[in-house]
Amino acid sequence: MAEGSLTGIPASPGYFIGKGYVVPKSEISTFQPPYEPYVLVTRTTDPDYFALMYQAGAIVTEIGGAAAHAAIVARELGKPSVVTVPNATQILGGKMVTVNGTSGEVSYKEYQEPKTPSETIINENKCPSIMTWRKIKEYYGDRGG
Amino acid sequence: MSKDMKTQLIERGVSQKQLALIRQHSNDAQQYVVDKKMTFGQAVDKLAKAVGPLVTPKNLKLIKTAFDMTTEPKVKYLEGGLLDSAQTSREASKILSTLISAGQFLSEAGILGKKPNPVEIGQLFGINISLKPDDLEELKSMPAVIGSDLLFPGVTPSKDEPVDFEGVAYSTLLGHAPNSVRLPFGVGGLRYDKEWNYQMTLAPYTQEKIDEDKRVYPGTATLYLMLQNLDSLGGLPLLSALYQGNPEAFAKLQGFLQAVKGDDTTIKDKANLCALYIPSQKETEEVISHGIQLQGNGSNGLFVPLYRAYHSPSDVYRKFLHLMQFLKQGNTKMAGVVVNSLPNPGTVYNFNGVFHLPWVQELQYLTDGLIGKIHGKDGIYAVRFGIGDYRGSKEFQVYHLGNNGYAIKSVGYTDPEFTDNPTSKFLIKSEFDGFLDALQTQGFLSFMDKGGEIYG
Repeated sequence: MAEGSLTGIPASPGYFIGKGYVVPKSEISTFQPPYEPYVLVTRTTDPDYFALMYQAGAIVTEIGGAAAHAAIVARELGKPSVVTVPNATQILGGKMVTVNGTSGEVSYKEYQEPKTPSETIINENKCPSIMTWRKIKEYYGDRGG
Repeated sequence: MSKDMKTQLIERGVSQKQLALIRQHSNDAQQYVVDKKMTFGQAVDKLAKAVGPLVTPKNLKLIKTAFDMTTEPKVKYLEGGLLDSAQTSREASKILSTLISAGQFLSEAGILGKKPNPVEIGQLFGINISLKPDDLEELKSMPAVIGSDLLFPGVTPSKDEPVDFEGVAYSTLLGHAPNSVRLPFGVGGLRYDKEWNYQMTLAPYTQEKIDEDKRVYPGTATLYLMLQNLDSLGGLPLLSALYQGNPEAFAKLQGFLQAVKGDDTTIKDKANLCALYIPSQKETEEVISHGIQLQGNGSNGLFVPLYRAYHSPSDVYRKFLHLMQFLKQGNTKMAGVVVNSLPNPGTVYNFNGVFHLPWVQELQYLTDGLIGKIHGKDGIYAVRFGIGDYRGSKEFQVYHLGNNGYAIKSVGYTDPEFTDNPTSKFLIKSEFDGFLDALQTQGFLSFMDKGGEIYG
């Protein structure tokens, strides 16, 4: 399916759009991060994922709850996160993924190369003291802001 | 007593399902209650039986020799709360954890290009047996097969009375204090044992873990050895690769280590509190009346970053292991990300922290349905955390108000055990932001040690 929407448990509030990267645990140490912040998609996270979570713009997992590692660390890092998203690792890899950590909605569509790198980042986390607000020109549709 | 508190929780909107879970967890937790009269010999036998099926015969022989060589330790119970850790079991666990820690240390030293000999390892970890070179390989295999799951010593009542876990859980959820934190499942509470409850910066903490606690986390040895070899950091094989592949990250790492090595702050004699509770309707109305709405959806979890504020530095140690794992793969780019993620060097960590829950992996299920999931009416619940010493105590209560956002109240007590004459105030938005900034830059405990003032 080229386009669609999934729903999970909202684990850390905020909003982010970026390319989805599915990273199994066995590939953590060889992972080469893209230039732009991305959406980290995994079955679950544990402390070994910290560096990837630190660099990601948002985190989506297939299992977990509000007290799961992914949720706690995402809140600590001030990044949007949605957990318990069924089939996320099968669907979201390589897609342009929109993560709404407040509502728990994760939508996706085909990825298109951005015109310029800075145009892809939209991250409005409503947690002002935890992260620096990054709100850069919207690239996709009418969302953001 | 339990019944009354249960009724109060129901009135506050806690579901029967959640209460049933508490009851179930409380019953399950009983298996971790150890009789105070258990002897050291009995504790050793119990642990050896549990470990036996997991390890090789050579490994088991090594463990049994270490047990045999230990003279019966003098057991001291320190806590004045409801529960203490079962001391004879703890002494037995400590012997095993010393061997596991030595094995972890050897593996990490190897990655850094260091090869400690048996005498050095024996001295560093205070191992009571004469190690041979072959034994070092045996030790290395222990962390993976044993882990730390068998090291929880269990709890024993501080006084000669049985402890009603279910009642303690309800009491904690209702916000009563003081409650002992030494519950096998994690609803938190006040930690009494000030003697073993202190905060320190990373370098002395690391030293303490090896010298005294004999229980190291993955990555502890890597940091320890980096600090020992700070003058020749670039000469260590994989760090030389970082120096060449990502010099900026190397310089940052070096700066971090220098700052860490130079800061030996230690803060002692504190009692800590951390607990989840369900506010009453009246209390909730009072909170909402202050109109503090800081986030769109407050029912999504813990807002204040307790993870870093309260956690022991195991997550920081693990970053050093990650750093080496990335470098091993030639991934200097991600190694740089790890370096960037290192915390403020001045952050103070809690030795024996209250939020160090659950104790070990095998007890994790005991928190299911508890931490972060118990909601009152409209998803309202709260986390209270604070610190106290003989001068008094300060507590922060963070309210999660469902869709109405968050509110925070500071509470001061003149009595260190959180019992008398609380004075409280709500924080206005700018104070709250200052509070969060202080947590981020100083860490909660350091922040509290400076008086816990929000501003000024």
